[in-house]
Amino acid sequence: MTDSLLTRFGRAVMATGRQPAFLLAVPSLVLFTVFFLAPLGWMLRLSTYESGGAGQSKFYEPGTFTLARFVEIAGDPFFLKLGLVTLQVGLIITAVTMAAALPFAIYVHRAHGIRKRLLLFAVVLPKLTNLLVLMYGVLLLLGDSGYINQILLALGVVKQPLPLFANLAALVYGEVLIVLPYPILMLVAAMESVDPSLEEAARSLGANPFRAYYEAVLKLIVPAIVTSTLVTLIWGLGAFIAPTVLGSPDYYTIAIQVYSETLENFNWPLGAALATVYVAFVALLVAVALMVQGRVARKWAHTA
Amino acid sequence: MGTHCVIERVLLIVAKCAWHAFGLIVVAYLLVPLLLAFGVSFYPGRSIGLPTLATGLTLDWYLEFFRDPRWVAGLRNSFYVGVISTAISLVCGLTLALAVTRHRLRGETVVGTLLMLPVFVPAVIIGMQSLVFAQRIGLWGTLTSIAIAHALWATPLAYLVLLSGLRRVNEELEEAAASLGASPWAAFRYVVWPLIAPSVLAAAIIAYVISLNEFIMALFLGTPDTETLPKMIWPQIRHSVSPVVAAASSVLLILTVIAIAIAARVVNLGRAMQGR
Repeated sequence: MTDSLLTRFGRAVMATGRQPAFLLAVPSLVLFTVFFLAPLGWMLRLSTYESGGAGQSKFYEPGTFTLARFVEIAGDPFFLKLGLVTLQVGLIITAVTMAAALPFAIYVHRAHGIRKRLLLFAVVLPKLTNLLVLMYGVLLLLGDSGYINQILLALGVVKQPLPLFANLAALVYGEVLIVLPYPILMLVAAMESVDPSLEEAARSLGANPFRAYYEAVLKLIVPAIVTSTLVTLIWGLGAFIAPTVLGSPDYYTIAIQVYSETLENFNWPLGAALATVYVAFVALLVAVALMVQGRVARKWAHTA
Repeated sequence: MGTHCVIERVLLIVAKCAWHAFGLIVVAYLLVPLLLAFGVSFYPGRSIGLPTLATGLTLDWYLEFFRDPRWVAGLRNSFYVGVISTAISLVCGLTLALAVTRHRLRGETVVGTLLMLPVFVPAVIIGMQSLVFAQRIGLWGTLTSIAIAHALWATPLAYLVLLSGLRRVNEELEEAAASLGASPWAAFRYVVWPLIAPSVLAAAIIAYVISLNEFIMALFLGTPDTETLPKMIWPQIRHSVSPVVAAASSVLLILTVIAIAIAARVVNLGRAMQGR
C-alpha cells in the first residue's frame, strides 16, 4: 500500500523478468480455450453438418453446411413438446430447490462451531458422491418395494404400494437432491461475507431479530440469491440423471434427447443441434438476468 | 400479563422446534439416500433389503464385486482417470494461483471467472462437446479424454483451494528468503511449498473425488475399453437392481468419505470452500 510507485514498478518488472505472470497462467488458459471453448465451437459447427448418410454409417457428413437440423427442431411438434417439458421440469426444480436452499442456508449461517461444520459436510457429501449412488438410494426409498411403501404397507395405511416413482414428483425429488448443494453453498458463502456487526447494529437500533436479519443480511445478498437461482435453473434445465432413472418417458428432457440422438441413434449433428439450442437458450437467459439485475441494482443505488 | 408471557414463550419454543425440524428434514433428505445405498450393500440375501440384527451382515457383495474382473477393470479405469485429472487440475490450479498471488496477474478476475465457467455448465453439454471434439482430434477412446473433461470441473475448485492457501502464506517470508540469497525457485521450494502442502493435498483430493464420481461425461466419452466404475453402474441401475450395484456404489462412497476425511483433517474444508 505504502510502496512508492517506483518500487512497485521495479518489482513488477523483476517479476515479469523472472517468471512472467502470463507464463504461469498459460496452462489454465490452454485447458480453457483448447478443451472447453474449442470443443464448444466444434459442437456448434457440427450441428450444421448433414447427418451421416444411410443408417448413420458416419457420425456426420464432412464438408457440408446445412441448417436443416434446426429447421427440423423448430418444426417438429415432438421437439416443441420436449422443449416445453424441459422448461416445466427446470422451473419446478428451481422453485423447489430455492424454497429449500434459502432457509437452509440461513439455518447453516446461524449455526456455530462443530454443528455448522457438520451441516456443511452434510451439504457437500451428496455433491461429492456419485450421482448414481444417490439415485440408487432414492430408488430404494421410493420404489414399489421401497422403504416408504414398506412402511406404509406395514402400518396398514395403504393396501397397494403407492406409485411413488416413474413420475414427475420422483424426478423432482431426485434432481433437487443433485442440485441443492450448489445454491446452499453459494448462499452460505455470501452470508458469511456480510459483516456481522451490521446485524448487531440493527439490533441495537431496536430492530427485532427477524427484521435485523432481513435488513442487515438478506437484503445484502440479493445478488447472490439471483445468481444461485440462475445456476439452479441452468442445472434444472439440463436435468439428465433423475429424469432417466426416476422419471417416465413423458418427462424426458432435452439432455436425454441429446444423449439418445448422439449415442443411440448416432445422429451427431442432431444431438449437437439440440445441445446448441440448450446453450443458446441458457446464454440468452443469463444475459437477460444480468441485465435486469444490473438495472435494478442501479435503481437501488439511486434511491439509497 | 403473565399468561401473555407464557403464550409468547411457548410460541417461541414451538417456532424454534419447527426451525430445527426443518433443518433436520433437509439434512435427512440429503443423507438418507446415501445411507440406504450403503446399508443395502451389507444385506445377506438375493433381494434388496436393510440388514437387521436378525439377518446379520455380509460382505458377499463386496467379494463378488472384487472377484468380477469387469468391475475391477472399471475401478482401475476410474483410478487412472482420477489420477490424470488430478494432475492436470493441480498443475493448472497451482500455476494460476501463483500467477495471481505472487505475480499480480493482470485481469485476475477475468481469468478466474472464465475458468469457473465450466462448473456451471451441465455435464451433458461438456460431455457432448468433449465427445465430438475428442473424436475430431483422435483422443476418443482414451482415458485421457475423460480425465481432461473432468479437469474442466476439478481445476476451478483446486484453484480456489490453492488460492486461499497461498493467500495465507505471508509474502514477507519469501522476501526474507530472497534477501538471504535464495533464488525464486528455492524460496518457493523451501519456504512456500511446505506451507501450502496441506492446501495442495486438499486440492488434489477434491479434484480426485470429483473425477471419481463424475459419470455423465464418462458416459459420453467412454468406450467399452474405457468404462469407469460409475459408467458400469449405469446400465445396471436402469435395468436391474442387484446388491452388487449397492456394493459398487458403496466402494465409491467409502473411497470418497476417506478422501474427504483426510482433506478435512489437513485443512479447514469449510473455510477453503468459501475461498478464504
